[in-house]
Amino acid sequence: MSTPEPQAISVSDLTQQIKNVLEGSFPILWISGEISNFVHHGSGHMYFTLKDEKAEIRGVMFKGFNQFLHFKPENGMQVLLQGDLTVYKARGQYQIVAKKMEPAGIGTLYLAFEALKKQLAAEGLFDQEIKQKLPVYPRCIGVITSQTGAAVRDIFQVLDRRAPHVDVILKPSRVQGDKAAFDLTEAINDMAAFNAVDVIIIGRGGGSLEDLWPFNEESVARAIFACSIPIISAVGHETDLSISDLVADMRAPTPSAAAEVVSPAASDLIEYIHGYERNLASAMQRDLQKRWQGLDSAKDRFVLQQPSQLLKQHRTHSRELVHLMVQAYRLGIQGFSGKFAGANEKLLALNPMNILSRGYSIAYRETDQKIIRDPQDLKEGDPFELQTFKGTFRAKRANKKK
Amino acid sequence: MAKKDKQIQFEEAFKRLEDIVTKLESGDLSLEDSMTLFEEGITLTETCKSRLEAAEQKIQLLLKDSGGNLSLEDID
Repeated sequence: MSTPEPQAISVSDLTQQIKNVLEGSFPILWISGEISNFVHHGSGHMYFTLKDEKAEIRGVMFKGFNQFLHFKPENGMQVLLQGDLTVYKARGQYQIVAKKMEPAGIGTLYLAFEALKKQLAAEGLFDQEIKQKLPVYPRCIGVITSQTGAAVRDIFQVLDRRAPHVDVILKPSRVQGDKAAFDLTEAINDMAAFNAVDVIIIGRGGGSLEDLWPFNEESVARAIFACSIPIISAVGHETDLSISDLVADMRAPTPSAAAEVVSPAASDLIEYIHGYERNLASAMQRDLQKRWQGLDSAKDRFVLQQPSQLLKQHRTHSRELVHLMVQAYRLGIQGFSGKFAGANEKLLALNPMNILSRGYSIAYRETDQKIIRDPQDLKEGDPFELQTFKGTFRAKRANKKK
Repeated sequence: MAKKDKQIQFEEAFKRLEDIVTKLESGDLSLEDSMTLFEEGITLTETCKSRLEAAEQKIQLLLKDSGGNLSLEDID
């Protein structure tokens, strides 16, 4: 089909179509080139041209992204940058909007990172289902990092504040430079061999990709994987992802966060313990209540005799009971002076001496000092002993009423 | 704090406490056994609490000599 007259489209429409085509064709790019016409504008945004021998392209790196740069871009510098190709319609220009930028040479590191990541993933070193669980209540925490870095200070600070009951073993290691990977690998192996810690934190503070590189080395990754003790990896800032993060049993965004994750707060543990105290007290209370009920029904059914001349003899027999009373009483007193009033009131209420003072008694079979819970425990005329608040006396089961 | 005491794991202590509470709640114990268990439970909670409250963190360095032997050394 042909048209009699050429149909004109507007500049805006054409530019929009160009924009659609271009921006859809280059989703995410890594580009290498040399920086020129570099301007760090007062607004905080960076504008530049990226060029090589035969071509150039406009580039911009907005403030929100360039604030994370580990270096200062300059004219003439070879860089590697990642970004999106966009069309700036108002000027009819296409440009790279950079999200990441590194000095060139780093490019080989990225390639190495991606290659190792792919290889180790294929071998299953990152599989979620083989990761070890972190201990809930570690007694001792191992730390592998530089003895002089910011990370060790942050970790110790958090552990001291949250969990002073947990001990720490530090294995110092270089965390940047050529020897660091060797140190880290050895430190992990030594920690595993010494086998004194329940969990290990490995990491360092923030730095450039090159600084963090030892944590992307294969030997470190394999040592972490082989380690029988759970490892939490905390390398750099939240935005830095390392191979050691991927292979470790858990990743923490920062060393401080790693320390938080592995240490149970002492205050939480004390809460648990209070909970157990309350459970103990209420279980004991219910147990005793059941016994009182049994005693009540026994009291109703027995006519007690009072051979007071046998009191002295009885005291010997009830020594065991008195011992128990003293123990219980001591617990009550301890509670009084303690700091945990809620639980202690309950302890006091449980003290058998208090219950006896309210008029209850406990009956013992004379032959074996067993507590009588059932009328069947005694035959008619059998002697037994009755413990009251102020003392114990001997009694005898009456004959049945005729 | 004695080293052995330090070794008491909260996990174990909490498990024993659960055990004691369950036994007390079952109600088939003699009064003597109930009192003994109750006292053990209270002692256990006291031990755990005092460990948490009085504990002072010990920080040690893991060192390796030229023979490859590992040892701990206190640091301040």
